[in-house]
Amino acid sequence: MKTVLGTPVTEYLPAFGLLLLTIVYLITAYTYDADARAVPAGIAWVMLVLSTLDLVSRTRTGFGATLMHWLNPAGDADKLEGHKRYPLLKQINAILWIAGFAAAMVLIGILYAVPLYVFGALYFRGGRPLLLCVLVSAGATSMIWLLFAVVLRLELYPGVLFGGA
Amino acid sequence: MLEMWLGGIQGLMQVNELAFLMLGMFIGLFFGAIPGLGGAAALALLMPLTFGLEPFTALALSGGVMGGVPMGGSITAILLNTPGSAPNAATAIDGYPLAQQGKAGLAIGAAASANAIGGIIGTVSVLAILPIAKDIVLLFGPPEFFLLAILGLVIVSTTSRGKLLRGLITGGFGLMVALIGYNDVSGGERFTYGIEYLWDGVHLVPALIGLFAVAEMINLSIKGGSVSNNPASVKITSMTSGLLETFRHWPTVIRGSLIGTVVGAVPGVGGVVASFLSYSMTVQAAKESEKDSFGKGNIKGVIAPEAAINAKDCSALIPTLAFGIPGGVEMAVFMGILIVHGMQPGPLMLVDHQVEIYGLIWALTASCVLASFVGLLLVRPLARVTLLDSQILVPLVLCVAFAGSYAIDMTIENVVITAIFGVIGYLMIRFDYPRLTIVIALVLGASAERNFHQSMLMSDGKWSIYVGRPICLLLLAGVIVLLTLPLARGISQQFAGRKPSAQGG
Amino acid sequence: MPKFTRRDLVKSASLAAPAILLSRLARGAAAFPTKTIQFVIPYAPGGGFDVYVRVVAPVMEKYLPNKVSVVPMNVAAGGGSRGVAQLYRAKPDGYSIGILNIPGMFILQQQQGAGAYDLAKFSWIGAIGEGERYVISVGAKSPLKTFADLKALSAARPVKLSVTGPEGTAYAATMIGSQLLGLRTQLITGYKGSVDYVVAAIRGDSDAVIAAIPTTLRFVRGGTIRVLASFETHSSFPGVPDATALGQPELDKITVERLVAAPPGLAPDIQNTLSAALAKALADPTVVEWAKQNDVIMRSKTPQETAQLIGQQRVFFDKWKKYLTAG
Repeated sequence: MKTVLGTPVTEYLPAFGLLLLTIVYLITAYTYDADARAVPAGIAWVMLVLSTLDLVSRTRTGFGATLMHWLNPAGDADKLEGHKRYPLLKQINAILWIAGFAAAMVLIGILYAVPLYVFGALYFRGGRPLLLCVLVSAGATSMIWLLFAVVLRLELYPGVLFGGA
Repeated sequence: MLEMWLGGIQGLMQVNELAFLMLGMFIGLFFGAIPGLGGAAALALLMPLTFGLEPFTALALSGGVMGGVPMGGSITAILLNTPGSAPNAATAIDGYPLAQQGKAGLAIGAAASANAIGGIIGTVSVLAILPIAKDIVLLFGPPEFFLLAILGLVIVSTTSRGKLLRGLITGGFGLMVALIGYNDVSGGERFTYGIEYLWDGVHLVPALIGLFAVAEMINLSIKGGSVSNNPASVKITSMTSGLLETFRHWPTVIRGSLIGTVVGAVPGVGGVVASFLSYSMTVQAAKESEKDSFGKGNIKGVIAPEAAINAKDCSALIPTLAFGIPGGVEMAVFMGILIVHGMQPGPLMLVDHQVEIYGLIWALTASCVLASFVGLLLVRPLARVTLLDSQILVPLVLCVAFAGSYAIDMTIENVVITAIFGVIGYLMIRFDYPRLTIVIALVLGASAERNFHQSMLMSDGKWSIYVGRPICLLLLAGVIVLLTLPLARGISQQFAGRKPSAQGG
Repeated sequence: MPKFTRRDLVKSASLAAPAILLSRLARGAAAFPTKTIQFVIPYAPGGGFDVYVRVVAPVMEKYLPNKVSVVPMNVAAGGGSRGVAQLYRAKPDGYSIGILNIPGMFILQQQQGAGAYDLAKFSWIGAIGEGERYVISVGAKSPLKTFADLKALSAARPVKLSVTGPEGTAYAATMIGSQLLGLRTQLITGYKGSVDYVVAAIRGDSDAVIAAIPTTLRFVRGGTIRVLASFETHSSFPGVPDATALGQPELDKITVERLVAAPPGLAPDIQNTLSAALAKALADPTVVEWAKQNDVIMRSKTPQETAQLIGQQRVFFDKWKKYLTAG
């Protein structure tokens, strides 16, 4: 794990991300007229300062550590060592499965995405026996259908590919 | 007035009314539990049903729903870190850690009893102040609302133990997100980048579902195992332990109920503020040594918001009935039901329909207590959910979460928001940023800005308006005290020679 | 056996064809409706438009030829534009109708850019309720007692009026109304909802408020608000000047209309069926009773009257367009 100023690169990511977001937000805010930009711009400037502080406090330099200690003691470097870290791949895997489910809902609609995802998650990711996977995904789909389509009489989204708006 | 009270109870004690009350309660319980659905959806669904009903029966049904929703919401908040409705997000902060420790039954029991007691105290308070209710509502204008929002933000920021900087950052982030959308004060869209969905801003409930439910499910699917890794503790769950805890911590219950009552009476502030304020004030009032235990499974962290939520439900009727200003989406739908039945909310409502109003209040309270009872009964089977393996639990919860998010207003973009905030929420867990502050910022951000602009328009740009009005002065004092108190404590600790360990301020 | 010549064939065919066509038409007309009709409400449940539809829709069911349901459906997004756009794009088969807010939707279309829909092209079914007129009022505790007082104040400094956001009907009514009344104003914008901004005046946030009569009436009855002038041609408030007395007849044109429409291209016979059902529903005793309790006049309009009304409204608002652009 590459380190910069004593801290692994991954630890800087949230602060960097926030800084970037704030800059984009600020630039956008300045395209609006004075009244509309007053409050958002104000908040963005403060956020600029805060995320810079966040970034600096994450370094393991003397100044950074002092900042961390006074402003965010829970993030002190010694407290971090005890924290369990999960392999990056596992995290990405989990996030991708869920993002995929959301994407499926948007593309092919709720009624198809639900059984596909539940079955896939149970069988391929979870390694459960085939029969159980089929039963659970069928059960989940019928519950969703019963609750939303029948009881609530709501039209379940058909998916972009099948004509949804 | 006593005869009006009694008239209200009498009207309720008919078989028809009681039956509809129970029906409403069960529907409320169910809708409250499913994220995305909630009191508003339940009432909207039942509205056509209420047509053939007598006004009193319609009120019994509505009261039933409103009383059942919070209990349903707290169940999923505790078991799955999934607030069934927005205010229950505060319950999850300590409720979920309790579930993880195998004490889900304790938490649900405490929540149920806090619900009931909070509801009762709320009712009593409302009945007491109903005569002067109108005047209270008129005391709160844009300057007061603005300072209230600031107070809410400050209180919540100062309760992130040891994470002041990150708490402020997430709060700021929440504010930035809250300002996306059409701007009511000067017109024109902001930060929508041409996306039509964002015209209404980032919808709150889908974002919350993402931040809590989805984020937790991502976390669980990485960690593996089940919500609770303590089967022994889960198996000895008792129905009454939670009940006893609530009575043991009666100051917390009373404090929560009073906060809920007061906040509920202020129109447009909503349940989230009530529950978070109650939570934060309970943390502030706790002993120094106890403060660090909040967020890790302190039962008071469950009792406080739950009492507030139910107390608030009752007092939120005041601005709705007295003026026709709904305190939230649920109240707006309820107002629709009233109007359809020929009861116009407004100053005359409190005069012409007193019996009905009291009947409604009793129905709400009764439903509250009944729902808590049902919750207590189900404590043991519900606790077992925490033993389900995550591989099965996660897909199922996600299905309901995403479907519920879509069902709020039949907008598929909600699902996208939920997914995005799910990832954001997980990153906040992973990198240890508090999620409390972002919730309050999302809820209060847009209205805070609006009230600020309106105050400035009212006062022709003079900032003195904030010190010229009595309630404003009070709120301002509160903000200053909250900001300086922890700092003063830290400094005094320095002088006493002790290193400031986990600073809250 | 008579010989069946080709001429006979042609003759019988020419007789049969119109007969078949007529019976088809007859069957088609009687066949509508055969399934649930959706009544689109472009706003969230509980609001003014929502309530109107929910009162009228179940009664409409009684007056339609076959036993079908008329189901209200809320499509609340984009301040109403999503619901309108959805209705515009739906199939003109008579199974989708909706309620439109005029002039609110004109303003919305102007703000968001036309493209998703064109209000002029809708097929009109009728209207729910008579157009509501506006009045200008002050809180009961206000030092202003008459309209003359208000004018005097306006000479001294801009009058503060509370309004909703710039995309709302109240904003348009306030801007146009105050122009016609000759008042110098400063708007306190951003209040949410038709009641909120009236309560603002009662509370003292603003000096005065321009609001629709039904909303104002409930506060008048409670004694919390005082009407200074009415925009009606003939004031229904005793002792209060009206548009005629103020010499501004155009004030009467500022209204809120709740028009019922179907997607463009609706067949005339289906249009007639629907509009007849709507008209009868509005005359139904339960609806009339409800209307009385809520200070609403439930007068229906024919499709032709509605089309005419929309034309008039469009002309009126085109004239005032420059005051209504955002900001």
